[in-house]
Amino acid sequence: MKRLFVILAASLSFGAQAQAPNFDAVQIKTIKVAQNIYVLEGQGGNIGVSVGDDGVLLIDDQFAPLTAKHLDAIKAITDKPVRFLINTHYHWDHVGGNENLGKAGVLIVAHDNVYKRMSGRQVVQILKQDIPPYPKAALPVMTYNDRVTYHINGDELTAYKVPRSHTDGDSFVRFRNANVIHTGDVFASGRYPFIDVENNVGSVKGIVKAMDELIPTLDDFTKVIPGHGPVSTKKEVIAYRKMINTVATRVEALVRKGKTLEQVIAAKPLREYDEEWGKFRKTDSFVEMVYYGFVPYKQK
Amino acid sequence: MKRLLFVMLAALSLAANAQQQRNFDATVIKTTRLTDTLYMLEGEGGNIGVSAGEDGIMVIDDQFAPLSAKILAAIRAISDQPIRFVLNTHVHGDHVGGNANMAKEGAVIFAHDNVRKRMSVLQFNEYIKRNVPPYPKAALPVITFADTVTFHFNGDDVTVLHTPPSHTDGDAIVHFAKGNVLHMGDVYASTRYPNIDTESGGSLLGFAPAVDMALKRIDDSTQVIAGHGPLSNKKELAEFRRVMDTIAKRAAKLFKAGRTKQQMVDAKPTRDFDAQWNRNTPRTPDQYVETMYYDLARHKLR
Repeated sequence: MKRLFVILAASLSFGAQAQAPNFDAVQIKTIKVAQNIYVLEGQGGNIGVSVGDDGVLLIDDQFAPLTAKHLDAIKAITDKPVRFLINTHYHWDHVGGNENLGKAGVLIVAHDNVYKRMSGRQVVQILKQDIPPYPKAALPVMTYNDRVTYHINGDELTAYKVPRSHTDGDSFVRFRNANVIHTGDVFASGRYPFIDVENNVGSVKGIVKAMDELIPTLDDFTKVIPGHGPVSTKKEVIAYRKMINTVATRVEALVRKGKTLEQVIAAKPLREYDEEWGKFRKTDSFVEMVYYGFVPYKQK
Repeated sequence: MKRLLFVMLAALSLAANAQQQRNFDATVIKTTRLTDTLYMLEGEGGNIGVSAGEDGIMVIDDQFAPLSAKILAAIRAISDQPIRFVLNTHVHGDHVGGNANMAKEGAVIFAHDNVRKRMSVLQFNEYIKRNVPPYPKAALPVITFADTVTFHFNGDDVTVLHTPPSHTDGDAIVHFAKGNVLHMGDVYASTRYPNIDTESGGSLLGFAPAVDMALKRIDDSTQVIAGHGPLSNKKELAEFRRVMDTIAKRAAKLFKAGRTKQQMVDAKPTRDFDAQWNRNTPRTPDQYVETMYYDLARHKLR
């Protein structure tokens, strides 16, 4: 298979040691979030689904081998065609289905930097990823610098660029009337996120900034769809912001004192979080990422 | 209120009902090939841009609904690919009239946020005391943007840029980087003064900054499609900018000096440009200056 790396890439969401996932065994779980809004869980980033008279809009599409299963899950919800796809960012576990959907005539939209990164080779050594440029059918056809709004299915869905954080092309997608927001991977619920710091793509402090912009826009009823983890609320977003700010502050202080990566890990900058938050991405691997958010990463 | 000129013109472009009463039977769509993939269509209303290639067809503006069949025939003479996108450069009826018909062909309509906002609600035209009803849902843009979007389409990077409020507050210009073609919407009329639709948030003060956004992207061989008027170029667009900048500065100066509307009209801030630029319009230069006055008053520049 040509896109072997993409298929191997579940390591992004399940830790660097993951084996090549067996997509045959993956089952798509459909969760209703609001009237006309669903989340599909399978392997990779959570997929947001808007259904209604104007057709289906998807937010992210996991991995290419799962597209048929996604379409089956959507058919169980609606008989309307899939018309639109928004990519929250360029990572392989969120754009893997693009080529299938693009060839089927779905209009792919994303931030400008998603198009740029998908158009060229991307190497992420921390996750052992070497992704060749995507074929044309997989690339976003329309890209934005700031935001676009879809007026469909009785709602206004705004995809808007957030500060450089998980990557340099992250967007949130807000359903104005339904009071739902999909955050892509800038927010991971109850777990340590991946931060794409290696090529100065993402930014640890940028996540804190993005959360500080997000939190005042949420109320107690807002449903927050994270890139990974269960559908959440403002409460989990605030807890996540606190965790990121804590580790960023501690690691930055240690780096300023000239500590090495080994010393930073030994200082346990996430000590009070480890047990609860370290179940998916291991603490040491996350601390390493945060460390390289403050120290330039040397390509091996 | 004597907003005679502006309103006569606004009536032309805003009143959808009025448009439908017009007779377009004699209108012929003229197709001009600009590059291998880019075309300009002229009929009645705003000039249409067409990108046709392996990815499908993109249409910039669609004139009046009764012309859709003729416009589609002209497009089909170029290409049998699906019509995937229609961009509206702004809200006026001579640019968005065919939207519902284009959507029926499968096109996704897109425009600046303010185009959809204005098309969604009843607009009242003060001078003719006529309501322009909200457009039906099928005619409204489905995807709207705030600032800049880029289409990676037919081998080109097609950048759609929202300009400062000038003709309206929802104007967009479209730059085909590889095709070296620019569509200016009604921010530019190539042979006459542009309309300043203050009712739709337009402003005299925005034309020079809007044209500057275009000028820095283009070169001497760029083909420039104006919203109205013949195919143009960078040199002519730069002259248009000089004219609009000059009269804006003169009018602003008079206004800041405390001149009344009549005093501003009497000062004739457009006099040396009128012979060349106040053509093909029922509006007198004095009426144009009145519009400027109302615009400046709205901005409370003193």
